[in-house]
Amino acid sequence: MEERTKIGELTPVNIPIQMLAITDRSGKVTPIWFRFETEEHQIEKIAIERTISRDESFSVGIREKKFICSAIIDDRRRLIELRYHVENQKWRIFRFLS
Amino acid sequence: MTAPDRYIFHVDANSAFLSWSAAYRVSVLCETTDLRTIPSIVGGDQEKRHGIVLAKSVPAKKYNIQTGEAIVTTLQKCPHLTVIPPDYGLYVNASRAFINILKKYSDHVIQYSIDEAWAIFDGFESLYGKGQMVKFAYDLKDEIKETLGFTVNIGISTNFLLSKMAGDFSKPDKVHTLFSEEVEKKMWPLPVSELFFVGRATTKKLFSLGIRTIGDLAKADEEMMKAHLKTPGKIIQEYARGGDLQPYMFTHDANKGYGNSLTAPQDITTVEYARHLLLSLCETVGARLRADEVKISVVSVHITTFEFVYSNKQMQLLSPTDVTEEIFIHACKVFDLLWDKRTPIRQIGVHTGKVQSDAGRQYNLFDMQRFDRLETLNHTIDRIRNRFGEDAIKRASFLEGNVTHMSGGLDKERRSGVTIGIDVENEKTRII
Repeated sequence: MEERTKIGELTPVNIPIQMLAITDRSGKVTPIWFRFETEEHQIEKIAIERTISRDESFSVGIREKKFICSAIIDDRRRLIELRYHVENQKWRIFRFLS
Repeated sequence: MTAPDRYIFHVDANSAFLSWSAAYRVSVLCETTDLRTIPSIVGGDQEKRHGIVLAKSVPAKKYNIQTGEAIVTTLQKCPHLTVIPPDYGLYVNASRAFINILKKYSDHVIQYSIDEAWAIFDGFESLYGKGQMVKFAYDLKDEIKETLGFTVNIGISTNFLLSKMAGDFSKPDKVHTLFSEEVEKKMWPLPVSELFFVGRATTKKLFSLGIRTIGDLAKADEEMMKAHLKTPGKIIQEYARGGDLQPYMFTHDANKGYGNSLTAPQDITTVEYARHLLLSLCETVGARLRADEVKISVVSVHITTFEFVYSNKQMQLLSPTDVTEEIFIHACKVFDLLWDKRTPIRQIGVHTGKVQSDAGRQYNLFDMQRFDRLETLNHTIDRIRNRFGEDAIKRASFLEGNVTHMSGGLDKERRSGVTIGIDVENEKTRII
């Protein structure tokens, strides 16, 4: 879903992002920072403070890794749920939790 | 006969296409409205005029919306109906994931269609006990719901037919049993049309014989059944009595005919356009004949006008053939006799019959074209297409215009290979 959004709104979901993440030797993935295009066509880069929890889902046969992370966005600490689609290897912001 | 401790589960996804799309929208796209809780349907592409209902939600059922009816009429029944397009890639994914869960527990899974399968549990009774098989089915159903996000119905029995009948009792998200001792109580009161293999035509015949419920059919006089319905009558009576599916249910018989049809993107009003479509249909039919190494000697064409009036006509060939051009020439002849050249045509189809598998070419005095050369050419083209894809080679006449060069059958996006057929010998699905 191609949606360009302004950060700060609570509801926007499914924003495709570019992600830098590290994978350790056991296969554990940790997101480091990501960037995306805002409504004003600017590239915004956001560093992830902490990955709070990890989970996996297999809904309707689609394997996804879920990450709940905290990050400082517009001088505010926010919780975001990031998702990684294992098959097509795309990252997105699934939703803002706070 | 089945061994006493063999259990068969029939697992069927509840309104599969709709619930798969709904589950995807809720759990992957994070949408807030669940399509399963509002009147909604999965509908074909209205622009391509495939606008029929493919699947419906439970609330949509309350508006008397039927699978297969036109989207236009459903909107009259329920103006606030949500219509979503199908996503075949997703369905194939969901279907595979669902079959894989079954395969975790049984090495013997027979997929019957994209959304239903039988799983055979042999020797589980000694592990779990009879009562526990029902509990196991509940656990299995819940596991599918939790991991994949959609609900299924499970029918438990000791044979294939009864488990399928049980799975259809009430929906959604239910487990039902139908063991042979329960047939009289649970299956016999149902209307005969509910029985597997009994379609509309058979129901009508049975009604005229005074048979209304499955119980009536089971108790009906065998001689009378045979007199009125021949062998199929005997088979469905066997089913009504709780007999198992015939092994041939799992094999695909040799085709009696090969045909393809299409709904034109716009009404056909000129002979040229109609011939163009006929040629593209003949391409597909011809390729199928050659792939199965058979020849046909009857070509028929059917048309459905814009007012949904159906008509068809057929022609006998002088000698059996599998040559696209020969089929096309005859299809055009038949079509010219069939169409009044005025009424716009909505749907057109080519069907071939009198299939022979070992026919050589019968040369006759009137063969004006050198069909044996074309035969070689056709085989070469088939080989090229097999190797490099269907679009690797096509007739120049298809370069312009919007007619695809091989029409009919499933759209490319729908050719998933999931429901390719069941091989009984090994009782395994052939999934590509």
